[in-house]
Amino acid sequence: MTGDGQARPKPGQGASPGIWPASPLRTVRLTKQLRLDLERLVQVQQTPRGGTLFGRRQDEELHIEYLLPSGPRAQDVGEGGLFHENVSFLLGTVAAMSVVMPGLSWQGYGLSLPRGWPYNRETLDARVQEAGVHGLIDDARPLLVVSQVEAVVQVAAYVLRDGQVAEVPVCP
Amino acid sequence: MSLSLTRAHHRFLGLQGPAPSQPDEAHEALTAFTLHPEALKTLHQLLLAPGLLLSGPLYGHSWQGVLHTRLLAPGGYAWWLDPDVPLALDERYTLGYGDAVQALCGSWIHWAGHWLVAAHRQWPTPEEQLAWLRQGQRDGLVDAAHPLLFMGWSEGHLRAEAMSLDRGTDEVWTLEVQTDPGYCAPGEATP
Repeated sequence: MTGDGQARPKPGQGASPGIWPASPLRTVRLTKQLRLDLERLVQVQQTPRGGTLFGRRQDEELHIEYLLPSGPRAQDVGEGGLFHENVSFLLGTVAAMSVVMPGLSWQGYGLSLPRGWPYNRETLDARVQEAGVHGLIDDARPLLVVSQVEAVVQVAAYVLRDGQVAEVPVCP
Repeated sequence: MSLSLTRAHHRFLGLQGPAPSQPDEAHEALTAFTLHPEALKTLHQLLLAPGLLLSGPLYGHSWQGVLHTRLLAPGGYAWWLDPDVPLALDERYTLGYGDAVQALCGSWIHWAGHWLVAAHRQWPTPEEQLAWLRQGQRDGLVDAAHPLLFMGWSEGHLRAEAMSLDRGTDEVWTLEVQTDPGYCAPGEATP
């Protein structure tokens, strides 16, 4: 059963729903553990994987602590393409997070691309726009893209500012 | 992070083979049941006002025959569950919830049973309990290792008991429910 409209959660829903960040996003900061997890993930996966980012906003920095699956494992990517939304699954994830980690909220979307997956500026911009259309990211909640370029794992973050794709530096 | 296959994955994704065995002490027969603070908080919230019949998975870990319940999770997004199905579960919601619990708490906190609160929030009669236990058994939600936690008001006091059905004899057995020391016991006045 999938639903739409009134039940659909928005990014940022969680610890401080409805509070819009006063300052623009300047830096995305990952925890050491998350960085390790992302590097491991992109090295073993065979197909693109999507996930939801959970973290907290601190002024101009977004601290991301978790990238959780965006759907049941067998259906991570498939019908509907890269941003196939699994609303029920997402609601379950957000519900668990709000109880177990009430200080964190949904702060964007993550995309991990296996080695060899097409990755150039054009396809990237298209993905960011697509994520925006699905309401998964905006100017404060980024799309985190994890990829492997010549054996080096890269993590980049992109937001949508007035319809344009803008990159936000990621540390580390 | 890598997540291990859980009871929920086996159930909802139709995986073959035996369900994953739970860590360590889970094979020991259950003799007691403890509600930890977060679960107790949920219990109080559930019993605040009458409404729909509510049920869902409970998450915890077993240690030396005691099931320590940490979380009482919804069965799904309430408006999308079929109100005529007593132990209705939204499979994707449950997978999402369970995966998040596993990612945050580790796989030692697992789907260890089920909970239920009647629409009127009163303590159910033995007949009602038996009917729900049978339903739970039929649905594969209730067995010797996975009890059903009933909660409700009984003569002005909060009451909670974890029960299961013996598959062979059809006998109902009850686990003593304790709460984490330092918190209100069921039945005491809530703040």
